[in-house]
Parts: sequence; C-alpha cells; structure tokens
Amino acid sequence: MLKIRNLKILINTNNGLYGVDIEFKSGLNIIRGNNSSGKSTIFQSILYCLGMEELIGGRNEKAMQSVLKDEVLNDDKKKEAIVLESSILMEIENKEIITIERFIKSDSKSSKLVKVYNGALLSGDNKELQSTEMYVHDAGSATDSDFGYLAYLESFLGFKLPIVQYNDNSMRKLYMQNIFPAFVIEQKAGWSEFLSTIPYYNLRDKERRAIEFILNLDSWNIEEKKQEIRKQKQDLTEEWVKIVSQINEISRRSSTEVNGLTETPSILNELNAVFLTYSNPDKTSRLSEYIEKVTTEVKQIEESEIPRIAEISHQKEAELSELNTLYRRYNVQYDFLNTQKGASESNLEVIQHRLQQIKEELYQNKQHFKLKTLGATKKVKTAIDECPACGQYLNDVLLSENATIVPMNIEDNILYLTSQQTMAETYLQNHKRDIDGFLKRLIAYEQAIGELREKIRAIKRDLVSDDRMPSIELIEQRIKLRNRLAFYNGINSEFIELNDLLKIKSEAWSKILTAESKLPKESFSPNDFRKLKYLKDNFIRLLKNFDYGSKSLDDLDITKDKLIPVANGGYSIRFDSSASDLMRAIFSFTCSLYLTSNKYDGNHIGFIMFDEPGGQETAITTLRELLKELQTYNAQSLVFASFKQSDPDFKSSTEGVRFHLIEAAGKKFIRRQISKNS
Amino acid sequence: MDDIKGTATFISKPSPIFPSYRPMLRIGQNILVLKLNSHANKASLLKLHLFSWGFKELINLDAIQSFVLSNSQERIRFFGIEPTLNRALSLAVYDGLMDFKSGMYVLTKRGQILAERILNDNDLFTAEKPVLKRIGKNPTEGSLTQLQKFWKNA
Repeated sequence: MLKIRNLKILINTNNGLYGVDIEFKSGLNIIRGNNSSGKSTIFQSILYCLGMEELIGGRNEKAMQSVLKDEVLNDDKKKEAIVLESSILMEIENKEIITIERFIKSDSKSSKLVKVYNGALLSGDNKELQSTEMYVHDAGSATDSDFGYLAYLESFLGFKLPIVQYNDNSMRKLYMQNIFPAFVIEQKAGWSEFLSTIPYYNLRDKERRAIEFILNLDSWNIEEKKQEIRKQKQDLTEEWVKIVSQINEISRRSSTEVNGLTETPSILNELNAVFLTYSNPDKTSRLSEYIEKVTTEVKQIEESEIPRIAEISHQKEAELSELNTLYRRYNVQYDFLNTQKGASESNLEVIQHRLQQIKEELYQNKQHFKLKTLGATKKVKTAIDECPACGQYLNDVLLSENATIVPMNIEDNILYLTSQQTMAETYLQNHKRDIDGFLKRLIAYEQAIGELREKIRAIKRDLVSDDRMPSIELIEQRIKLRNRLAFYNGINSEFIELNDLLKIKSEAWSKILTAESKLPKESFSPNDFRKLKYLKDNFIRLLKNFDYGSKSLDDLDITKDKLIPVANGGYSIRFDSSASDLMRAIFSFTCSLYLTSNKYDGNHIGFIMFDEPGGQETAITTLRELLKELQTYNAQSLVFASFKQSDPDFKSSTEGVRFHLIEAAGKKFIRRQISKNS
Repeated sequence: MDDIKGTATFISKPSPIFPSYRPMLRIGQNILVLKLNSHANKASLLKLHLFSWGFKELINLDAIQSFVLSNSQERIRFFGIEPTLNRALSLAVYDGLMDFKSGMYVLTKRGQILAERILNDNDLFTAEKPVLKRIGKNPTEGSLTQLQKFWKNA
C-alpha cells in the first residue's frame, strides 16, 4: 500500500523563497482550493516525484506548470517573481519510508535526476540520511534496477512487472505508466474515457494489460503462453521460408522441380516427403532415379572402346534421321505449348480484372448493409424499406418501379457476390498453376531441343570426316555425361542437406502444435471469472449509488477483450453518456478496481487520486457519495476539489464524511516563505 | 389439346443489383460528401454528381483527387450523370436528412448526426474516407462551374 506522507515544494526566485509544506494522512484527504489556487500544481508535483508526469502529457519539466519553472504570479495574476531554481521533496511509505527529491528548474541538476533518501527526511528528525541518485526517462530507467528510478520504484512497491509483446513484436517490460492511470485520474484527459491517460507505447491491448496486472488475472499467463507460441511459430515460419527459398534456388539452377514443399511449415513424413524431379519432354523422374540412370550410362560408355567412324557410319546415319524427326516434333510441340500459354495468360488477365470488380462491388454492398443497420437505429425510413414520402414498401433499389426485375435483398446479394469471388479466385489459382506447368514444360523442351541440335551437328561432323578417325560425337557424349553426373550429384547432396534441416524444423513444428492444442481455448480461468464478476457487480452498485442515469444499468458490461466497461455489447460508454455520467462511470470503475484487487489480493497500490472530480456540473450528492465511498477504504485517497468555490457546497458535499482537510493558508497554496535574511 | 388446361404462374427470380442502385449506400455517400467536402454542409447537384461518379470506382475518386491537387487546373474529361442519384437525394430529403434550399442540397441536423456516426464508425467507408479528407472542401462550386464552361467550349 502506497502512502504519501509529506510533500514540500521549494521555489527559489529573485524575490526570495516560495513554497509549501503539506502533510497527508491515511484514508481520505481532501485538498480544497479555488481555481488557480495551485491545487493542480500539488497534484502534478506528486506525479512528478513518482516519475509519472507522462500521465499529464509530457516528460520531465515540460509537463509542469509555469509557477514551478517560469514565474510566480500574485493574486491579480501579475508577475511577482522569476523562478531561479525549483524542486520537490516527497516522503512516501510502503513497508519502509523513503524521501524523493526531484528538481524541475535548476542550472546544476537535470530534471531527469531523482535523489532517493533512505528514510523520512521531511517528518523525521534525522536529516543526515543516505541517498542514491537515479534517472528517469533515460534508456534503461525502467529496467536498470541499480540506477533506473522506475525500476527502483517498482521494487519499492513490491511489483514484478511482466514482459509483454509490443506492436513491433519486441518483448519488453510493461511500463508503470501503463498502470497508474487506473489509480490517478487527471483533470483534463482523465475524465474523458477509462484509462485515457495511458501514454502511447505501441502496446497491444494496453487497457487490458493494465487491468490484468492490477487484478492479477490468470488470463495473463494464458495469454503470455499464447503469445510465446505465436512468437515461436513466427520464428519457425521465418526459418522455414528461408530454407524453402534456398531449395527453390537449387531447383532453378538445375532446372529440376520441387515436389511436396509448402510455403509455410508443415509436418513431413514418408508419405509426405519433399523431393526433386527431373523432366525431359517425354518423361519425369525423381532426381535420384535420374542420377542412377546417368551413372549406368557413364559406366557403359566408359567400358566400351571408342569406335572408328567407318565402323559405325551406317548406324549413325539411321540415328541421324531419327534425331531429325524428333527435332521437328519437339519444335512443333514447343510452338503449340507456347500458344496455349499465351491464351491462358490473357484469360488470367480477364479473370483478375473481374475479381477486382467483384471485390469492389462486395465492399460497396457491405457498406450498404451496414448503413441500413445504422440508419435503422436513427429511424431513417429508407433504411427499413419504407418510402419516406408515402409510407409504402420500398424494394431497396433506386431503379424505376416500372422496371420488371426483382432485386435480390442485400444479404443474399452479398452471399451471391462472395460465392462469385470464391469461384473467381479458384479459377485464378487454376490458371496460375496451368501457366506454371506450361512454363516448366517449355523450359524442358528448350533444353531438349538444344541438346538434340548439338547431337545432330556432332553426328553430321562425324559423317563427313575421315573414316579412320575415332567418333568425336561419342567422345563428346562421354565428357558431357560425366559432367552432367558430377553436376547433379552436387545438386542432390546440397538438396539432401537442406531437406534434413527441413525435417528437423518439421519436428519442432509438430511440437509447437501439440503445445498449442493443450492450451485452453477460453483465455480466462474460473478464478478470473469470479474476479470479473465481482468487478462488474461493484461497478454497477456504485453507479447506482452515484445516480448514473444515461443508460439502463442492464445494458452495461465489462468487455472480455479490453476489460473496460462498455454499453450494449461493445459500444464505448462515452457515446451515450452525458459528461457527468461518464465521470460517474470513471469513479465507479476506479473504485471497483480497488475493491476487487483488495478482495482477491491483486496488485492495486492502495492509493487513489482524483483531480477535480465532478468538474463544474456534477451534483453535490454524487460527490458526497464518492467521498463516503472513499472514506471506507483502507487505501489512501487524495481528492482535489474546488467545490464550485462555495462554502455551502463544500459543507453539504462533505456532510457525514470523515476526512483530513488540506487548505491553502491564503488564496494560494504556494506562498512566499519567511526570507532567509530576516 | 383439350387435355392441357389450367393456369401457369411464373415467379421471377431475384437478381443481383449493382451496388450503386442501392438507396442507403447512395444516401450515405452523399451525406459524407456534404459533411467532408462542402462548405457549410451545402453542395450543388453538379458537385454531388461528380462525387457520385467518384464513388463508383476508387480510380474515379483518385481522378477527383488529382483534379483538386492540380488546383483545379487539370481537366477531368468526363464524369457520369445518372438519374438514380436524384432518386436517392429525394429519398434523403423526404427522410429529413437533407434539405433543398435555393438550388443547393444541405444537411439537416438529423443528417449531421448520421454523418457524425458514419465518420466515427471504423468499418464504414474505410477506403473512401481518407481520400475524401485529402480532397477536403474542394473542388469549390466556382471551379466546377469553370469546368462545366470548359466542356461547353471544348
């Protein structure tokens, strides 16, 4: 339980020393002062000493009021003194007592520097306390436990802040500034929405993270595990994709084809293996089989001697005419395939265009559907198919009523387009696959044609050369085959290496999937549901106490995703509540968070601070109910209020309430102190 | 022939409708134009026709944007004028969402409330809203009249 014991503001000016000393008690403290009496300065000073000034919208001294850094004004708002140096001292307690000192304006001390005294410097007698200097808002101030002030404060408050995933996928600690808006409601932005003063840290579900932590929900762990699995999956997918692209590169280089490889991780086994195939126009075989075949060929050729041309010229002539026929056939087939590919490609373009059109139409139809729903809630007649002029049925179409077509209703029209879209997409996929197939076959033909051409040329050369010479064609073939064998052996061993890697990843993938299937689908444990129910019950009870009236209380609920109150199954309460009712809702939520945490041993710091609750328009009774509620708490609460600058208002607001009153001695809290000289 | 007697009934099957024939969609679009792209929520029929063409396909909206970005110098060669817009506008007027005053369509209070709801709804007109906001209160009625003259003389 955090307790603020004492606060001392010191402002050195060219007109002597200004400042204020305030003592806070346990339980309810009311800080009463008129407008511009310096209430907000005190409020901000407390946040500043806690390193939480980002809640009021800035870092370091920038967030602070001008009386602390520029000039002191007199009661008539005229300049009275210029600030030379200013600092704040604050004594707080949580099991032990420490005193915090932080400068705002100073030539020698940075506003990022915080000095922590080991004891009660303000109220105690011992003024010779040990102190440590720490930093806020520096890199590491939240994590470096030796010199980072926020990390120190975290352990002082007995917190263990969890690691959470930010939008850039990095895993970092949850910041304290993300939690404090549940304890401290600031005047300007604090009353505009639940937890509205959480600074922007690029954190996913920031409200939910704060409330999960405060109520110590199990959903935290479940969510954390889910996130971890998500991260593992993501990492593995990245590695998988890398291997896939390497394998594809090998396949490109060797004009082989990859089979059974998926773009995303999958489970591989004997039935579901990855392998390479080699194709020529007539036959496709596995690369390993092809290598075997070439090996035997090489062996045969090497075993036989190279014959003289005379011995084989008849045989070669026959072969030549055979090869020529094959060459022509391949060329015809190649041209044919090429035409087919072209036709497919232009078809593809047409489908792509149509698909784009369908998508736009579908989008617009959905817009229409939503607008009808929205219009119906606003009593727009056209939206409920009723003519606003004559009250007759309107058939949801702008065409003349003499047109003979019967329009499809909008739901059916959306379904119709969706199925069209699916069809077009399937068609598109098929076409892409076809074109891919054509392309591969074309390449195989190109290669085969090239080889044939060389072979034909070599035989022709043989046939016209001297009969006593050995066949050059066969020598060439021998060399070529040997080279090819070496090449594909190399490719194969590269592939096997990657394939083994893939198998390891596949095993890891199957482990992740098993772990995932073991996690509960619901992200809340039974205990969590109990806590959330208690939270909601108290929230509703308090709303009733505070006279909330904008919505029926039955319509309100706590969302299961953000864990903040909403109306009618998902709308922000802000939309339908008056300003003063929104304030009531924020009171109630802040209080019920404390109550729930208190009952179920959560992480609430046991400290609540409201700046100007009720603003200018809240009923006195509501304010009194709030104060009555707060006085029953063990938590220390600080309420800063002006009570509409009227004594009767103050009296009736606090009737029957036990509290410690803190008031300015004159018109302002911050006053000139007895000067050093006198 | 005497055997074949009795009556036959035909029920026409509902047909899918092109979305720009749907009343609420068109009313919503025009409300958005009056809210985001018109001074004092007021616009001429010509302007509404321009945007109505813009809503048909996103490329059309881009064309309007580049017309505006060129400071109304670049000429849009053509935009469609179609009768269904007038029907949609009549419905909106009878529904109390718009008024027709001295040749201009203007949003009523009721229309403005609906406009706010549409603007705040993160699911509605997600593709169009950013472009409309970039286009802003342009093109002005004056530059549209200029454009009209240019067509006449062309």
